[in-house]
Amino acid sequence: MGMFIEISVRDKEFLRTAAARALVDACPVEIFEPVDRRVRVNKDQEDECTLCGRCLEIAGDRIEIIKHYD
Amino acid sequence: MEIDSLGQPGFPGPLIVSRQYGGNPPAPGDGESGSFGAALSMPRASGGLKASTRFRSFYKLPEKLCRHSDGNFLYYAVVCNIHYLGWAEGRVRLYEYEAKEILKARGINVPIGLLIPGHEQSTPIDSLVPAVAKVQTQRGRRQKLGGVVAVDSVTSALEIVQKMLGREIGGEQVHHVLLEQRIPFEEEYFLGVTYDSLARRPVAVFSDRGGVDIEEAAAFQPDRVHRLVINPCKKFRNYHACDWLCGLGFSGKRLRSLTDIVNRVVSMFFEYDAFLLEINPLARMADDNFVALDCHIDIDGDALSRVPLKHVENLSNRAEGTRRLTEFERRAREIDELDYRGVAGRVVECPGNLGLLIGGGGASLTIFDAVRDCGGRPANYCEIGGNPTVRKVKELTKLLVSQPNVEKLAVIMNVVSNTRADLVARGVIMGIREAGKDPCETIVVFRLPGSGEDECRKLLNYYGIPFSGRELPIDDAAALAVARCNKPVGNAEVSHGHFD
Ligand code: SF4
Repeated sequence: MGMFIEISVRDKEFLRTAAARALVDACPVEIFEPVDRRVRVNKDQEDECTLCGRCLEIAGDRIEIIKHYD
Repeated sequence: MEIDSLGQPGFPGPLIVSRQYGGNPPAPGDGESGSFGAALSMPRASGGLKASTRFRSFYKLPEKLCRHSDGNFLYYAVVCNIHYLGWAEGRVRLYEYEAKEILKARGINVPIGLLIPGHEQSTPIDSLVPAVAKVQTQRGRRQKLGGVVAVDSVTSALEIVQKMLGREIGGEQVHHVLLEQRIPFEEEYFLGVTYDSLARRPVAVFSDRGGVDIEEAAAFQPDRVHRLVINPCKKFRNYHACDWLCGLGFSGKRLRSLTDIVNRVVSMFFEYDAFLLEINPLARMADDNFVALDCHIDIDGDALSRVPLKHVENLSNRAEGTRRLTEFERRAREIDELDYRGVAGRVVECPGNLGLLIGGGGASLTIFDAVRDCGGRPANYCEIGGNPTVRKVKELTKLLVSQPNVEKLAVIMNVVSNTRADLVARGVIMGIREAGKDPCETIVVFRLPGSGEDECRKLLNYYGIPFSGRELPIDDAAALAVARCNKPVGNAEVSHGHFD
């Protein structure tokens, strides 16, 4: 888990869908990575999140970006 | 600080350095931003100088702003109003014997010499005496450091050479000694070609006060140092040199010989992508011929692949110039190479106690100088920018604050646009914590206005670190950092914003 940012996936099943693949391309800092047939959040990268919100555009409220300092 | 004369059309009026915030074109209504960017966008015709150089010369900043306390950090020469500054790592200095090989190949007379140890000991030593033994180091002022000794016999020559080899001169190990015939001469001149970043052109410099300390001559007898600005877009012709030298009072054989030398030196300067080509002294013999007694050639490190220097060994290893990276600097460089994104690791180690994380639109030199002007003792110079990753900033911060001499850290940047303030803040806090320190106790100033500023403010507030934006000028931020460096900093004690 990131020290400042946590990418919380509320709907874990979403990461198994084809739509979730778009997260991998959308995130500019490689927080989402493909593993087998699903997408996973790379916990080591979470603090690199630029808060661009592109993942939220794709996943809607199935993903939440938690700022631990907020 | 106010600089009255910008000396540049289109940028009138006094410039207040401490209120220069932006590295970008001025935003509408923001009268204070933008001039940095204009300076930085000056063309490479200024000699391939780095942005900071162009900035300083553009604004004619005083010399003291450019010089590091130990004189090593930046290569800096003032010859007849030339302010030439370059990073040591971007240049390659040839040894005297290598430079003389080039001169010799170009038909410029050099004394007969013998390199010890050399590839072929073809010249017998007894044919050279009386001679001069010169250590082959890349630093200047060898003579003052005992690196140039006159010898009158073979025995004394061998003895001196033996003593010189392996010795340290100016912190540099002597691997070679050049034993050269001592030549009787009538007069010593200085001839050099370098870049004048004010004129943004190459310039040939000539003085009848050759020998050591040409800089002094330039400072105290400027009328004896003459310059010829060269148009790099046109071929330099003999008549250019001839006109110039005629104007300096030369005639007859002296004029012909000197014209030829100037012409050859200028063409070599371009051919070798030199930053500096200097013959000092250029000795005039009784028969009005000239001999180059010493020569320095500094080549642009980026041009090594194309310069015709096949006879020179280990060139690329010298790309760091006259100063070797310290262990600290090497580690910082490794951090910078972790990731291609952004810059966080161009660091120069200094002996102070205040770690600096500085940058933004070329402001790092200004910030560094501001800290020193306030009496601060920086532990390092550094540059960050271009939106480095959090990890890079973290690793760099960890490295900075882990230095045993570093007590506090000041994060001061110009207004950032592509670098994200909040990402830098994350890296800084992580780095300090990983170094086992308390961010709140360690950070004396965090001044980072611009992109991501609001998020950065929130983040810092959470950790009890006051955030300063553009309301705190760079000079004040530096003064604040210095004032706080030697006293404890805690939540209660630190006020937000302005230096009080
Ligand atoms: S907000 Fe942007 S950077 Fe952060 S996880 Fe989503 S896509 Fe990646």
